[in-house]
Amino acid sequence: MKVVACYNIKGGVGKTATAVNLAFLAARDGARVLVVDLDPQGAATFYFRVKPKVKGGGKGLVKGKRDLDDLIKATDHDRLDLIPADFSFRNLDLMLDAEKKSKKRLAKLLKPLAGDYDFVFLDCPPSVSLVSEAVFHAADALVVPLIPTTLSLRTYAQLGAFRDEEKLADLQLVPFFSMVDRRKSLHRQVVDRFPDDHAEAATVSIPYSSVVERMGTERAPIGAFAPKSPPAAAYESLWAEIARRLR
Amino acid sequence: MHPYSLEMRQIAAAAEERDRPAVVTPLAAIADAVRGSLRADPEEASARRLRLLDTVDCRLTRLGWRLEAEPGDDGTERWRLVSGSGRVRAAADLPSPAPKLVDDLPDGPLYRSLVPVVGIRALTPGPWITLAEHRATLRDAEGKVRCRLLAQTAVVDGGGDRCSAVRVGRLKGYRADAERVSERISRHYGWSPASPDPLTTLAENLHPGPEGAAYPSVTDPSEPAGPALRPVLQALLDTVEHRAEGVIADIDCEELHDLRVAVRRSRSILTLLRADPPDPALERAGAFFAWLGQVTGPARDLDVHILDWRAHRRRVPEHAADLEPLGRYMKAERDKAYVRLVRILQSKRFRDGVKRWRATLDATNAPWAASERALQPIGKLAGRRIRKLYRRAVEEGSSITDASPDEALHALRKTMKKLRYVFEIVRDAYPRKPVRAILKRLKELQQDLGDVQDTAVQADALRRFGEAMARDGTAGPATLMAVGALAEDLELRRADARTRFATVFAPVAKPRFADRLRRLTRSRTGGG
Repeated sequence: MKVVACYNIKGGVGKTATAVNLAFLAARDGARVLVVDLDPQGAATFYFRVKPKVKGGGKGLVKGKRDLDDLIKATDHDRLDLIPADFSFRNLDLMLDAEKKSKKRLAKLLKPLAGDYDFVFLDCPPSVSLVSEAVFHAADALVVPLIPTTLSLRTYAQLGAFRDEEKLADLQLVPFFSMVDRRKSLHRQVVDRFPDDHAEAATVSIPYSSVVERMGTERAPIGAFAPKSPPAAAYESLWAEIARRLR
Repeated sequence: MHPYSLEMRQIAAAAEERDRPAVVTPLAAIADAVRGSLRADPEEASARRLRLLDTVDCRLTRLGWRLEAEPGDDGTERWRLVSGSGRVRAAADLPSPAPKLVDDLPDGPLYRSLVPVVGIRALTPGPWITLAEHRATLRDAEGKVRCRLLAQTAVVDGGGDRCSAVRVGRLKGYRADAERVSERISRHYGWSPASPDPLTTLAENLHPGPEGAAYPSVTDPSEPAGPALRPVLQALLDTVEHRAEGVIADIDCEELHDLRVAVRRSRSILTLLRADPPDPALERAGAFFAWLGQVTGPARDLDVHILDWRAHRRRVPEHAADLEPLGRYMKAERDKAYVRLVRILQSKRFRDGVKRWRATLDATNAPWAASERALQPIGKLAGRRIRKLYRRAVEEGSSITDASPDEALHALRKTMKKLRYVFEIVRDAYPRKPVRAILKRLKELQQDLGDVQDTAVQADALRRFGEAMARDGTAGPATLMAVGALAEDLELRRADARTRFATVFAPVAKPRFADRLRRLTRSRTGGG
């Protein structure tokens, strides 16, 4: 089982769209996939039409009082399941802090699912916190959507420094650009130059498109309602690249 | 899928009783039943045509598996191996007509899943089936899928079987919805306990599998040998008759093999019952089975050669192309041998022999059943024979050295076969555990002796085939070299088997083994 975390310190960069679309593609390719919506806003949960409610709340989840399997909901898509978000996840930091070995807690909670799933996608809340640290310790790869702006690049540098500080050399970073508007010269410049200093960057970018925004009205991954659209093709290429790196 | 299912006919009938239109599709009926709580979105109905394949002894159906063959658009066949739970274990697109033998399938998940189960048996397709499917998705007010319904009807062509079922698919985290839907349907339309999906039911109807054990055994050691062995001999004669039909229909090479095993087992029992003075009916049957064993030999030898050629082709793929002419030559020879054999199995001599032997076995007061031997308890009679054959085997085996000719091992093989057949006739009269342990050792030794003999015979035959092909001009130098390499390979395997002999013979010759066999065959249950 490989754990893929969709993460960025910044909000509104396309983390949830990435987690939902990549998970859909992995399941479509035959893998057994679980999405864990750790963001109390519950956008991934909303996209999958599931109620944002977890029995026992975040506390129950973190303490491991309930079998994680009891919290899992099937989505409308074959082989794709979800642990929905819960509003109590806003205090997940504090709940983790109350536990021993808090940074390794999430990895421990996910371990029993190894026989049931091939991939777990973590949709993470923005910010650097104990939750992020727990995510870093649980994940095999950190997929980092970046908007091609200077500020966004700065946060990626912070993220790299944080990983080094935590001595997580095995954690793969896979940055890629999302919401790319090739009409903007700044976007073009940033996208073209970034790989010069970051060999780990994915070669695929996700274009800015209203199709991505339609996920909110369709409440489904792009592949389910606009499989031939440019963003759908871009996510397919991105997933192919990530899957190859995870092998 | 939910383990419960509903019979469609019940649903339709119940719907009719409730003054609904005469033709009610099951999904319409169900959608009606769940109205108000969840919205049912029916999907377009689909139908497909397929055939189910299995071996003549129903190896797949007995495992709860089914093999579906569906015609493709481009002259291919789509094969899907489905397990009892409905999971597709493997699939492959094959050229049509697809091969009869698994060995001819391309290497891949389907080949690897089938080969341990089907082995060398041929896969034969059943009649055409039409499978109609209606699916519906039940959604809540948010549009979230809460459960799925699947209604299936499978109909065998030509007015054959018809099976239907509706299945309620449970989704993780929404099991209560599926339970509620099942309960509602049950309340409105009547309930039928779980039944497998229609194709599984049809597979079981089409391939019910052979009845009873392959090789019957006596269970009461104190029963007189005559009455105890009569049903065993009758079952073996049934096998001879059925397998002869299989040989005539050319199902696969196992038919002839099973026929020959039944012949040898029958001969073994006849020897056990041999009286002094000899009973004419038993002597006649003995002569009949001796003849049958002899006339079926050449065809069986060619079957074995072809099996070995197939195995070698898999083992050494680089020889495969060069060995094709040899395969064609052997198959042509085998076809000729089978034509002769079929003529024999359709002959008056064969039919009369079977008829006469059946009449002898069916006669209630036949003299053979009243002979001194036939009146002895079977446990005692068989036990004595087992011990005698065992002593002979140990004697023959102990005198074998590295310098002994292969004939010495062949003689031991024949003794071992006789020993095993008698042992198996009474195996169910003995405690299971020691029987298993003894049989394991006997089989290991027999396997090794078989390897020595078969590889020698095959290498010899290959040389003859090679010479014949060279004379006919049907083989070029590459083929003749590959045949030579195959013969050498067989020689090496023969040498290996000879080296192994001492290792597999030693445990059988040990006093501990002899003691165990003696105790078992002299025990109160086994008779003495």
